[in-house]
Amino acid sequence: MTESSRPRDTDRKTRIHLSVYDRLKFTLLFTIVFFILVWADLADNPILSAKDAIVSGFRTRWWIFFLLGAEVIRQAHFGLAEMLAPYHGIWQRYFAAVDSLIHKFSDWTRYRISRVVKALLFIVMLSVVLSAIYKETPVKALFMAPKALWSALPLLGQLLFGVFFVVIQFVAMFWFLSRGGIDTYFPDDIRTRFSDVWGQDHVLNRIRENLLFLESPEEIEKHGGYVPGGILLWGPPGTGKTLMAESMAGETGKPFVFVDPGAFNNMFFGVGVLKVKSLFRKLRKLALRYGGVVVFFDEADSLGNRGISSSGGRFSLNSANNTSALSGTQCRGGTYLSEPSVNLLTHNLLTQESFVANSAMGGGNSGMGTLQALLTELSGLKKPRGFFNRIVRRTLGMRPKNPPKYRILVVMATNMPEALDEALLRPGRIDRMYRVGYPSKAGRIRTYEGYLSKVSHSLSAEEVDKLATITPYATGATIKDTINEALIMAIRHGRTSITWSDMIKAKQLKELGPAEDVEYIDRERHAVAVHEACHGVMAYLARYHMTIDLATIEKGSDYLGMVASIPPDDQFTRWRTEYEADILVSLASLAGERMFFDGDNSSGVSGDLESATTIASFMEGHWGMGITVSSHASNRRFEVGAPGGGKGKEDGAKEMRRALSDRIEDNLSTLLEKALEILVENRVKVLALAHALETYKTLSGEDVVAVMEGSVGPLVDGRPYLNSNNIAAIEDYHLAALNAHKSHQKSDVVLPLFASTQE
Amino acid sequence: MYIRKLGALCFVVIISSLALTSCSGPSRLYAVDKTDGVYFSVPKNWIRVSNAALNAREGQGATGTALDRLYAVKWQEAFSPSKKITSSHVLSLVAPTVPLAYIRVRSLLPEEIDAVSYNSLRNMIVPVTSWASGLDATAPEFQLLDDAESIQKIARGVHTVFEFTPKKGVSQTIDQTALVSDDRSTIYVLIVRCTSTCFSKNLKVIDEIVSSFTVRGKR
Repeated sequence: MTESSRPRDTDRKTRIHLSVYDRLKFTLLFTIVFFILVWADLADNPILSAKDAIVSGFRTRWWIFFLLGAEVIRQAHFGLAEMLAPYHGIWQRYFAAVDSLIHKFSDWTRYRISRVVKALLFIVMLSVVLSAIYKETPVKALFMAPKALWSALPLLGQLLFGVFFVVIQFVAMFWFLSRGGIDTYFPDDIRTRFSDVWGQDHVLNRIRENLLFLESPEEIEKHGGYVPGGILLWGPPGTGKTLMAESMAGETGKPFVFVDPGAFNNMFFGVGVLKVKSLFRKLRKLALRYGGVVVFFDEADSLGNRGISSSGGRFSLNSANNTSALSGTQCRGGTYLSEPSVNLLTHNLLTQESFVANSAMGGGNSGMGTLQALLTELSGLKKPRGFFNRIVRRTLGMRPKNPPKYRILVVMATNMPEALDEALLRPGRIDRMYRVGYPSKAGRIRTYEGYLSKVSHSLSAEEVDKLATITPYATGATIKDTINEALIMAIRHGRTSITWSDMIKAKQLKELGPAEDVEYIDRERHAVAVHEACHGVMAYLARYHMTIDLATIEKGSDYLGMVASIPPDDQFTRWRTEYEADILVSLASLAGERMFFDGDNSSGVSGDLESATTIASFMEGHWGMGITVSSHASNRRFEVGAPGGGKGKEDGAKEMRRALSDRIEDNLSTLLEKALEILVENRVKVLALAHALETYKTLSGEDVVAVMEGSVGPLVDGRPYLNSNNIAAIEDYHLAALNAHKSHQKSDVVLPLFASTQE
Repeated sequence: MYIRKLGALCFVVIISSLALTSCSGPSRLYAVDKTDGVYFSVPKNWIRVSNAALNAREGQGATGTALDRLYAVKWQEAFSPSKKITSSHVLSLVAPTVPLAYIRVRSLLPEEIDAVSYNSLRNMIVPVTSWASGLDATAPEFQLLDDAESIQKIARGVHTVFEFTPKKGVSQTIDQTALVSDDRSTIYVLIVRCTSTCFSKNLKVIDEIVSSFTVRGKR
């Protein structure tokens, strides 16, 4: 027996058999209806017997039996079609003809006809039911129904009120919740102008351009362009992003809407979305009324992202200055490095933790569709809006007007651009992204001048210039703070005018924190002074791309002493020699301690070694400044391993292909030897600088140079250090301190003092 | 499967047998006034004397209170097994030779409302109370066969059966149920009567008619 699949309906010769239920369901229905009517008769007449009710039912409800008869005929027809193939065939052909006739109408027409038929059927049924209720003719009953509806209106009203009563509570609640967090400022509400933003001219110029287009959009629109709609200002904290936005508000002739960073964090689902919608409704209204509007989202990172890990990408280089991570050691290792090197170290630390940090950010979005709503509002469908526009115009046969051009300039500011959603930053939403970095030197001078003009001071133009030079990474906020600190110092000293020394002290206080005012015991003071002097001498002799800003042995919160350098110029490329000089300065402490203390060295060099190793690693693995060429970053990505190994081959190539860490160690060893050489050659200078540090505790860059060159500095007269007798005294003092160090006893030689006038 | 088919077959058989029974028609003729909720039934071969015919007959020459009463009538109908019984037979006190059932539902006139009592209900057609007392010299030969209170859902009254023989006439037995609604707005009267011989002959039929009398009131 061959198995065959169930035949198609079109292949059957006879009709498919109906199930018993399908055969009887209408009969059953009519029977049930009949008995319901009989039951109604019985209920109507208390003396009627059940038999009489049924019997009279057969007479009065003849239409049921008419329908029943029709059903019987239908079932007979089905039965015949199930048994007799020719009979079924005739009907199939008949239905095919009817079908083809019906399908001459389009689907839409058939749908409409069926809709009309259904409506008529409904009306007929309704009138029959109503006629039964009103005991009237169906047509008359149909006209009586509206009256009943009218009398039922109060009840309907009550029900509607009930529904409304429940709904209104939610409406009111959400309405109240969706308020707030959005402030609108009109022109002249804000007095800040572009001229109040100093040192960010390049960004300001671009913003000015945007505002210009907002003020007169025809300039670009008549040529087929469009007004850029979004600006992102990103950069380190305190660089003036918010101030810039404030100045935009003051400068523009358009309303300025300020969105609170917390505005979209809400208790309930959907409130954020409502807020975004109401915000943009407001923006559109303002844009129409005033021809344009500026909306500013401060701390835009609070908008969050949709959980996509944004590690890497456009903003992978974090510009945060987390120097504390570097300075957890006794000697503030990071301080000896140039700022880019510090940034590098910071970045290195951060990327190690970036995975954790980013995954945490993914969860921290304001969520619940708020961001999506914002994305849609920024660049969504341009649909006709308004009841009149969409409904009334269309009813009158007019086409709805397209929405007008809403000129909305969106400005966002953040110092965590990597936390923003990628979709938010695409052109069309945020067209322009500007990094608001540290101000240029000219900007810093302008900023200093600006803030100094608000206080009384005795600083000359040259001094202000110098101040700007020695504070390369100052922002508007830090400059303002430093000047205020200087003013506090002046006032505490009974003056009302800021002097140069106030500024320097304030700068040191701000950069280093307050000195802890602890007195070292003599031999330790000497050790710290020698340590810092080694850094200082090395920085003076080997590092030409930075100048020494400060040298101190006053203990701070997280360091014993330090030598701080600053770049004299704004420089954007870094060279191998510069990095080597950085390493030399770092390693000078280890080399010097070993040299001056007979091979002994303190734990204070740990920070120096960490920074030296990091830079050496990058030189070897990333920057092509070592023996090999391949990039460690790529090697790690492709998992090919670093060049190294070469087991068993005793040739030069093996030497070159040793493990990365070996090569780094080699490089560091070489540089340590070099540092030692330099220090041996300049032993006198180190001791002289150490002496100056022990004497004065804190030296400025000029003082260090004075000691090195035997000239007169602002604080220190360096000329005594050219005198061989004085040098001998210093050597004696050092030897005594060395002995005291070895025996852990008090030194018997006191620090020699030289009169500054001494020849 | 067989059980199903068997069930279906039974179903069809029941339906058709029910249909067949309808050929004989209802077992009784039901007199119904749905508006006032009054029901009784008579044997199915009885003939109806219509409300309209009775109203017309009663209206002939009626004046004053009689006319007011006619206007207050809500429903009156009569049934008898003979075609010869007409409205004039119904509305006269002459004893019919076949049983005659007559229903009358009427609103009470304002002056009647205060006067209505069980005795006034008993005296609806003939002064039963005075005849029964034996004090009335003009009274015909009279015999009270039954007198009992009748209580329905919304009405109450008396069911009285009596026999009297007028002078120069045949003896007639009347089964009279006269009820007044609890709100004393309406009276319901069912009278079944014929000659005493006829009455005793048709006692069972008459009992069935009287016991089917139901007053339910407005729905």
